[in-house]
Amino acid sequence: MKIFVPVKRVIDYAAKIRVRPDKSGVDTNGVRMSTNPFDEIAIEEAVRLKEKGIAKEVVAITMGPKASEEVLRSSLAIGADQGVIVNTDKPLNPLSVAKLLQKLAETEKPNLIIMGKQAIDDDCNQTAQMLAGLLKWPQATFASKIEISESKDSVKVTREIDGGLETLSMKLPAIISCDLRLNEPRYAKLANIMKAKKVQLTTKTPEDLGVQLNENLKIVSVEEPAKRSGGSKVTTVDDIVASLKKHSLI
Amino acid sequence: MFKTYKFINVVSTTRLMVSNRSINSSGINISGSSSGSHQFSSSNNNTEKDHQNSDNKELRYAVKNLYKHLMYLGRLSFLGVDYIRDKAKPQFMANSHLTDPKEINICLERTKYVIKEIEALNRLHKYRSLKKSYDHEFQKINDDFLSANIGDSNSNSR
Repeated sequence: MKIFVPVKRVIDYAAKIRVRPDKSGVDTNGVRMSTNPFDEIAIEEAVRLKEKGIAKEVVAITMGPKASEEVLRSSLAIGADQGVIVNTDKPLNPLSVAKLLQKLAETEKPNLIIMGKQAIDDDCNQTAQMLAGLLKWPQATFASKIEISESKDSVKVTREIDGGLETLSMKLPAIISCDLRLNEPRYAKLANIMKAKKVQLTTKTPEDLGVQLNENLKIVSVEEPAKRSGGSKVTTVDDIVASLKKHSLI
Repeated sequence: MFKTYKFINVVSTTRLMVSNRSINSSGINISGSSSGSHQFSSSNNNTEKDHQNSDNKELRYAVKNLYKHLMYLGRLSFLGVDYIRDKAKPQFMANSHLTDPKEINICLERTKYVIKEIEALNRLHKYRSLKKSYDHEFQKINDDFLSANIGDSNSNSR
């Protein structure tokens, strides 16, 4: 069984960022970049499926400038078998990514596509859903548990939704997008990182795949969010206990 | 004394290696160990010392590997390379004079424990920051923690 895991290179979750003065975006000069945390969770899940013997091959895919290769190398270090980069310097939006993935899926024919639910830089939460629409495959988003059937032709996914959990069953091939509580990603061992540096990556371009990148989306302005209110000082322990009880936390 | 010299050599070369060069450590390592084996071969050709030399080589390799792993974690983690390097390097250097494999193994075990602690700290920090950013229920509770009327928000959805 072949699994596709699209990964994205984003600003590190712990990096301090500033909005550019002309409101065109976030200042990315000299800021630490790393893999999208939700995509790390997706890679971890795919590698676990491979270790259980359910999957044979895990392909990590990324799109963007050449610097995105580092994200592929860290995915390879965690356990992916192949790395594919769709090299382009043009800005990408979820529809373009979905179209590129659609073309790749039609040629490589994976059984499962697992990805993070959203990227922490644009928070679109659209790629998995758009890809499912383009490929006409079933989808399960916000997965917190994935179980592949014995016969490897269907999958049962538990989703986190408002108000609880929902379990869906669908035939493969399918698309799953991962939520935070699916698993805890591992740290790659240094030896694997060294090995991953030597692996040959497959490079493609949107022209190779024959995809016209969607340019209909334009960022009008980027502003800092309003400061969240909240956080007040307490004087006695009884106040805290009463509030905890009110929120049914204890 | 020979051991300290070799360790300083190792650590300084490690710092070079840690910056994005392809780690073909054999090139730099061989010069280090060959100077060491020169010292050994000049003395009596004792098989016991040769055995100790190969043991020490493995241990040296293990120590170097763990140090490199710590630097890698420093780059990944929110603590930063500088913080980890400032804490780790003095401790490594203070133990550089050890020759007994047992004592060195105890130090190695301690380093592996510290590495696990740093990884766990990282995981927790990442999980909690993502939860704070993306879990609306959690944010609401944080904001309204001390407020009087909780009946407004859904009391079922937890």
